Amino acid sequence: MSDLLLHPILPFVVGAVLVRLLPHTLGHVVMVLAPVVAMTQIWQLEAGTSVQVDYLDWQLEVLRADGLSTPFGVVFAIAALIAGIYGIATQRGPERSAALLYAGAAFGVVYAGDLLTFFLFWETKAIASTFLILARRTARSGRSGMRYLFVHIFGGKLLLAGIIVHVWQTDSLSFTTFEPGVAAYLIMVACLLSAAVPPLHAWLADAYPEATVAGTVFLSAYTTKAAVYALARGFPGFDILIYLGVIMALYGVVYAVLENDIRRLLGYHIVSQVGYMVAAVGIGTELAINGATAHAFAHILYKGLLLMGAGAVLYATGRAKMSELGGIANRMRLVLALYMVGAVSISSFPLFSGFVSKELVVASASAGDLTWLVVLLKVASVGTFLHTGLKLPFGTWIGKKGLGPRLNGEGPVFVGAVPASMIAAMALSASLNFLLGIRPQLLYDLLPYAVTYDVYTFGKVVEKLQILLFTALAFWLLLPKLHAKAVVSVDTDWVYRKLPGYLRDLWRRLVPPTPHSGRPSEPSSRVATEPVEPVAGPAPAEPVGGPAPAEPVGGPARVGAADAADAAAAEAHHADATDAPDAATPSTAAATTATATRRRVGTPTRLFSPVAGPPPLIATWVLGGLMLLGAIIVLFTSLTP
Amino acid sequence: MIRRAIPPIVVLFVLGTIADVFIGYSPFPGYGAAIGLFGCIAIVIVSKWLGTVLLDRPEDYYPDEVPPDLQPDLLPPEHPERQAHARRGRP
Repeated sequence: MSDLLLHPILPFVVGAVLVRLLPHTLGHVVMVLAPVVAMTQIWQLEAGTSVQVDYLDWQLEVLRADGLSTPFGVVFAIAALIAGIYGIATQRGPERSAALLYAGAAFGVVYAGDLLTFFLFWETKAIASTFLILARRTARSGRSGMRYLFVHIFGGKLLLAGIIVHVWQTDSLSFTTFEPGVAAYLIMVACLLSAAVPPLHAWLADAYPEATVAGTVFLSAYTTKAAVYALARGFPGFDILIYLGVIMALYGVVYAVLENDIRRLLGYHIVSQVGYMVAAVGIGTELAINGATAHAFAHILYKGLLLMGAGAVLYATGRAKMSELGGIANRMRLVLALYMVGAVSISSFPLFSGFVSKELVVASASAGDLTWLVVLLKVASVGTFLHTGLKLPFGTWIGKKGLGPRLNGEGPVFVGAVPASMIAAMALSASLNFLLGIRPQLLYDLLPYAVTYDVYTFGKVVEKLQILLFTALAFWLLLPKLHAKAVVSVDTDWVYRKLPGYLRDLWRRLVPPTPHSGRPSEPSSRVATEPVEPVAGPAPAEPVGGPAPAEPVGGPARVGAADAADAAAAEAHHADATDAPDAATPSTAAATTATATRRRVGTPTRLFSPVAGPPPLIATWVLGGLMLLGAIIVLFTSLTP
Repeated sequence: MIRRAIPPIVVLFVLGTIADVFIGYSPFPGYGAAIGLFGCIAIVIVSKWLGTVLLDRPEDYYPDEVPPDLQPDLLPPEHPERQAHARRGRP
């Protein structure tokens, strides 16, 4: 039982409380100290430690330290330290509290020995991470964060359903490798959702770029990698993961070509890189599990570094779109240099961390005689170098505007100072990436199985250098095609961001709204039932209105009071605190419902686009009925002996 | 400018291919170069094609969520663009 004091979650939970109680400057100390304490605890935890606790009829294993959980624990602690230092300049108490709780819950996930503990920490992680997105307090981040939460809660329910079926079938809560079956597949889908496997990945590219500067660095470390851990624990050798993994690796690359926002581009590269880990878990040999673990370890280090570089640009210029950036290289040389360390690491240059981990995954694929997989993974790594190593730094710091002036006030954008804490965190991460590259044994010693693999053979290095050189050549040839365009790319989040609007529209066409159609359509009563919250955001703005939304409604004759209320809500969102100053002249719709509009300013009442109003009432009833039915079935099946 | 880069690239390519012949690690000499060059071209062309025919939409496709050019809330309070934004926001 005394081993429970060594659970690395403890310093994080204590820290999460302390950062709210202590003055802000002491919070810096907490952010640094909590990961250091956790690291010491992991050091003291011997492999094979297990703490059992009796709860009701169950024996829970709340702490299980073994070869697979230790490397994840170590890198989670390092990531918390780096991201905590990075956030010194920007993070306030509540955000820090969420970040520490999130990191702590991730430790809980990887050190959980039974499914109930695993589930509880899994859900805590999802909820705490949402607050890192909401911490920006803008209408955009609010909607994005709530979509993120919905998707993860949906995944959590799948996990719970899987666990219930598993316990029902096997009468055991222990978290070990699953046998194929309904329970295993339900749990697997939940893990795949959290690992951002297409088509369940859209939450990542949707939400991560909307988080705070430091919040994104925290987010990139834990959610997907904890899911990779769960897959490696529960599903090694499930063939389907190989195919999903390679689809993932290429899918992220394709979207990265089209992406304009630098943090979203890096988000798509998380999808791509996690694909390597998922494919390795699918291969399932000892070498492959080592590869997945090593790649997760290195990925956390270099992806954090890349997102810190992007965040530093955002902090200094306020811009994240490559079409708005460029011409600032001379003002941010240090940040650019540190970013490039991360870029060469993720592109698996020899001497950097990505090389020593990615080659393990590729080696496990070629050891399994999966030549097609080896080729596709190598092509995906070409795409990685193309985007994070060439296109992103070129578009962000150089672009069409060149290297830029050496003094502020002459260039296209004003570049503020990047705080020393951010530079320190990036430097720490960069040096770790380099250290793992030149001393791969440090990483290999942590892995679950013994490694007898020499990564620095002449053949591998020569081949890698050829790939990188000719990717750079192709980039140069294709440069005119690669300038970022100001577009958004449709992804699978279309299903919950756009489709409901079309369905509602269809519903309105089929069933015209009448006074007795069951839908409350009095604008005044609707406004009265809306919670009126104080105006959020730094700059409260008058509702000056925006361009009238091009909302398809069910024919002009059917535009009822409900539609007018919707239009008012849409106007209110156009005039939210962050967008207001650039808005155009007020439109008639806003003028006629001015009172309703004013009360809704800054209130993120809508999670979806204006076209996506509330779903048809019948859908609510059908969904509710199905859930009730499911609950009754579960209840009855659990009661029958 | 690209003309100046051609000689070193050719030299490196020849060296790499010779190394491949002697080491025998790659399936055929110049394997890495082929993957790098053709893989990169394929990725760009296929992705751009997919973007044109299927994926790209104008920035106001999700009307509430037009990606902003400037994200002033992430700037430090002393940044001039944040101050300018705050002044504009307060009529």
